[in-house]
Amino acid sequence: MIENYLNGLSMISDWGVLLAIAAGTLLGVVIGALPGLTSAMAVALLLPLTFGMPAVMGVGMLLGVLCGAGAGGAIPSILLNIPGSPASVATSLDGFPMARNGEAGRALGIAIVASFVGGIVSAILLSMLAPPIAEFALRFGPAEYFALSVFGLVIIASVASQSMIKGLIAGLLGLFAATVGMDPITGVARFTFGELSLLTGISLLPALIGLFAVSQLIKDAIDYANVGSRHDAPIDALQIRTARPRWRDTFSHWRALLSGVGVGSVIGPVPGAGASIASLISYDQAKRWSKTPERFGSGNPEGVVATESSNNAMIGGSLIPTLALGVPGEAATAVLLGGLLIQGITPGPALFADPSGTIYGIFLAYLVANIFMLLVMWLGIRYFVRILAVPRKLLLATVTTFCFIGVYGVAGDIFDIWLMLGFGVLGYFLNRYGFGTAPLVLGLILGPIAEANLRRGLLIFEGDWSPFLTRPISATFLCLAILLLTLTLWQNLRSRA
Amino acid sequence: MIDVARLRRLLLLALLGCASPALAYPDRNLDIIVPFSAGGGNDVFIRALQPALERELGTHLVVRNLAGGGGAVGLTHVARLPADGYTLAVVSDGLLTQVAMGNVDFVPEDFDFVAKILEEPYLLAVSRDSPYPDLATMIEDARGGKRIKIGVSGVGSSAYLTAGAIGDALGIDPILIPFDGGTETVSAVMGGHIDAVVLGGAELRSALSSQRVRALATSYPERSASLPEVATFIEQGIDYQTSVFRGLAAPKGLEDSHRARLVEALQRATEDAGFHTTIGHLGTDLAPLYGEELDEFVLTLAERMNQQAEQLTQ
Amino acid sequence: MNGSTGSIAFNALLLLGALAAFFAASALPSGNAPETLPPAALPQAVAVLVGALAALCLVRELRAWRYRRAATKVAGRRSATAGVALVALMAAYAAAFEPLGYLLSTMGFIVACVVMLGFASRARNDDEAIFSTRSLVTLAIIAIGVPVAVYCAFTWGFEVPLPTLR
Repeated sequence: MIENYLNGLSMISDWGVLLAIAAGTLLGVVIGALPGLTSAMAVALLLPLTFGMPAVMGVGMLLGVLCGAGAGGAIPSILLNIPGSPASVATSLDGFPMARNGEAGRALGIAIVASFVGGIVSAILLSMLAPPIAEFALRFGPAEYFALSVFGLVIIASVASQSMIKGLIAGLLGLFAATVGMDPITGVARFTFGELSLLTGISLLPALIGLFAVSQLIKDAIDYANVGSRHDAPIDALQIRTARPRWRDTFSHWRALLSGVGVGSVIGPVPGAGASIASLISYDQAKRWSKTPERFGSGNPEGVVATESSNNAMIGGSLIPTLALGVPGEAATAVLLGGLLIQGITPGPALFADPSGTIYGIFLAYLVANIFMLLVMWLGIRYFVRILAVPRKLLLATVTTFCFIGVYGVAGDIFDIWLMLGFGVLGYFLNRYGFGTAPLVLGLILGPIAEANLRRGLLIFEGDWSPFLTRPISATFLCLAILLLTLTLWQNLRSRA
Repeated sequence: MIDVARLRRLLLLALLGCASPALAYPDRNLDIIVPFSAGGGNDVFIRALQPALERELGTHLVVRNLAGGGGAVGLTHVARLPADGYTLAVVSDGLLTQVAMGNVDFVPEDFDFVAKILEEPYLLAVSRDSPYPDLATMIEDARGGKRIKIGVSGVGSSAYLTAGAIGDALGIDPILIPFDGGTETVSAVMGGHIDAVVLGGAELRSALSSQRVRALATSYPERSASLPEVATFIEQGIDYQTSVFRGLAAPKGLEDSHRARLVEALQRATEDAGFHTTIGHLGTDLAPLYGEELDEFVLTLAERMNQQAEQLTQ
Repeated sequence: MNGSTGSIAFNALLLLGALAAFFAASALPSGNAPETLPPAALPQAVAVLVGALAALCLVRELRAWRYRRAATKVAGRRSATAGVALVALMAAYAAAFEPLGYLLSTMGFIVACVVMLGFASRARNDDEAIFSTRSLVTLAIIAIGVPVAVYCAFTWGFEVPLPTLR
């Protein structure tokens, strides 16, 4: 065992390898921080570059991108209320209010430490428990996915900001939007109106950028016109001084940290479902276990700790089925899998017993990527906060252009930009009238998983509904969902009374 | 339509006082449109070929991902472009499927197919824990009244049509279970949630080599060098053969001289050692085909896809 | 925001949208997989739920509106002009993105956006000089520097070609 790690260590202790990992991480942080540019895209774009590299070097660089992007997404979420990546949607819920309260530096400092802890814990889990966890993930069939997504949908009730009914409406709008496109079971085109770009459904990225970034930009423009440049207060000295990693601060919120790392590591390995919802689920869990749940949403550091730690724990988690089974958890790891195959690395149980020990090199590369991520963020944090010193109107204009290029860069389809604008306007009104946009996103992400797997399950069980209730994992999740829903409704009633 | 780019080039030449009458093709960058996002099969194929092809053509290839509608958006875009030889699309049998399923306005005749470069087989595979050691037992069980559940990636995809065709060839009536992608399908069969899958060789490669999944039959007419232990359908007495292909096509009306130049460059580029290593790792086979043989190949495949799609949508 | 005209209109719009969606979903073909739910099932169910909930909200809003009309007038109205103008500029940017190319359209958008915001806020902030030399220089640097940097990074760094003026 120790020998394997020493062997792996010798693979990565090479200047070229370390440099590749560092470069990947730096690029990842930048990509993650720019709204619209995602890690999946960055990994795909770097893929050809790795063709000529040795295996551990190429894969290490791609892992660096994943790791950096996971952490970098927090920067614009906290500073501008614009999530840099889908996974950091939940970070803005408390990170931005913190920045508003003059705690931008502290929020970033907490986010960095939480990301690092999440990443390191998941790296250790990955190297020790990957094969058994991967076996467990295989037990997820259509019934289990359906139950998991129902469990996720229940969270709508608790992320709904003001009114439960309005939150539900927003969630249902998301579910409806998710039905656009070719129906995944029968192939019937639903609500596409002859538009080819809609055949594969509403792309998640334009919808997300629209709902979170564009809607916020519209609101910023209105605020700016009404309040003016008094927004551009010079960065007060406090924010720069407090902008450093906050170790003790983070660990003092150990409940949130534990729930973030736990949820991220458990949900991350479930292929296809976990990635985008892990941080929302852990936010919800942290709120439940917190002693001060009422402070969530108004700048509670616990919210940032939970989401950012689960964010990076989820990356290690999603590597588990990728490496142990060759089944990637989400888009970015799917592209990474392509990179592994091109390198001649075949994922599977055999990889863990491979005498060349490549897998241990990969584990260590991921660990090193996390350390580089900490360094990059540590060095960068003082400069990140300075974003707030950029004149508001320039920032607004520039961020808009990043949204455009990010959405266009992925598919090169101008339709996606119009989609983003449409969702931006919708998102603005949803926020303005108290519906919120987070429930819509949950519906949009989980809707297709729930619907397709329900109907797929019915196909497999030949029209029989009972397996959904009798299969153990599926039944557990459904029971948990009912339990959570009752709890939320009860808390809601009690707080009103 | 006035070709602005050409005018500008002529103007530039006139300014430079250069009077070369016929410019050697290609004298500027070639646009390559990949109708899928970066990182997919078609994308990796062209990016692996890119360095060698750039060297042979002596120009830069600008690879553009124009994704959307499962390839429909990008291909529709290319079909409408002028045939000046400077735009090529990476195509696969997915193009024919889109036409067969009636999703798009173009037809295969809107393209000039320049080359078929890669092939991979469709494999009928089961989990390592499956009760079916071979194809015969599966067929027997199915004829005994059990409906075999076959997972495929995506409804209306090529794999979907192929799985239907394989069911017909075997004389059984399977339930086709569409999943969202290849990896979801593979994990469902590994976990025992479905009985079998029909997928391309590349998508099954890692599952096969880790021995979590066994292939019962390959759709190649003969056993392939990369999977010598997998018997063909034909060997097992089933009259069925097909394959996934990837290649390049141009909008209709490509000049013969341009086509000849492209084919020549492709023939040499595909001999590149680095390209061979990459495609070997990916589980695909080099199977180049050009000219009339290629046209015939495409027409036959299109015909079969149409028939299959008709049966399914009835 | 309860009881405002906008809020009522938005809820009414949701209700109408739900109705339209229900009928659009009813027109969907049933597909050919009898073992499972038809493609129209989920959209229809969702449309019904949205409609019911939106109707409920609408009733509440209308009550609040009556109450508010009786009580006080809305104070401190905010102008939404800048928001409308921004959306219009974004639409123009989207329309110009491919024909004009990334560089020109982006530079144009940044300048137009900053100028628009300057004018929009001037009404409330007479003390601010919009076109001071210093801010013009900053604007020029950002409006040219950012698009050029992004263009270079995409074209040569990632090898993702961006649209250019032909």
